[in-house]
Amino acid sequence: MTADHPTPLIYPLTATAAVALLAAVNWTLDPADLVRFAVAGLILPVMWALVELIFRNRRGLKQIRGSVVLAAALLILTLGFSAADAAGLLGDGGNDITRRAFGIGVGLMLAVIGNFIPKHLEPLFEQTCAPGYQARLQRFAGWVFVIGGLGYAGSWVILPEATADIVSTVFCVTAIVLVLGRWLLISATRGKQ
Amino acid sequence: MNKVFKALADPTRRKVLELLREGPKTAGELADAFDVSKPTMSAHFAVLREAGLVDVTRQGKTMIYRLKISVLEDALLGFADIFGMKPGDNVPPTDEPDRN
Repeated sequence: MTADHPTPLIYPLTATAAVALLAAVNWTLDPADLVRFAVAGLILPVMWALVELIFRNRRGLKQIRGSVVLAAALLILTLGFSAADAAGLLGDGGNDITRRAFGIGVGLMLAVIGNFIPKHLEPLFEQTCAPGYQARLQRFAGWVFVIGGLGYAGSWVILPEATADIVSTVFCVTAIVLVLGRWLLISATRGKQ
Repeated sequence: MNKVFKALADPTRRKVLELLREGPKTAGELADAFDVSKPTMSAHFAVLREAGLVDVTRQGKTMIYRLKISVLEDALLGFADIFGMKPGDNVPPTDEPDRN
């Protein structure tokens, strides 16, 4: 998933098909929840199609496909555990296992996205910020989201559910606040050209 | 990943990456920071480009290098510096020309 090695189209196609299939399986196990599973199964392919249409011919569009695969992985994880729980495969602790799996998936996704921020994020504000400050901000954002993401995932591995809910949220919010704060500081002070 | 390890094995290339942390620099600015010949520096730049650790754009006759490393590669760079990794430390030899 890089600008030099774009994700082959077959990967996001397969991933979105898997999401739709799992959503359908969930609906057969719980027919009363049609709207929820219809949204879960269709939201990703619809948003992907919209992005492809709106931003067609734009540089970097092929990187969107890698993001689609990541988003699909999280949905597959959630829908997979949801289906297993509905089928009674997870026993009495099914709800807890599903929540933990989702929390770990979200944390790892945050860490993976953070890892690639300094490498692949196209300069968002190079017209208003000196390149040096922009590079440092992207590096800072990358590290903060990797650490925040691993902390988020780790909370759901180690802590009791109620505590994990709070601690993981703290990790996520802190990461966002730190990056936004650093960006605002750069924008307001020395970063201007 | 093998290309990344190869690129990070050389202390000169690691120093180039550290200089680029301050922001994009021209090939001349980077070369001036080292006491090596221009062909040798070009070879270093080529290894870094091949490993995907730098991005280069041309402005007129000037080549401008920009850092392009992920957090994982940044961490590997730090480890390589701490442990003083050198070519020959279980990494493939570089393709750089003989300085002599």
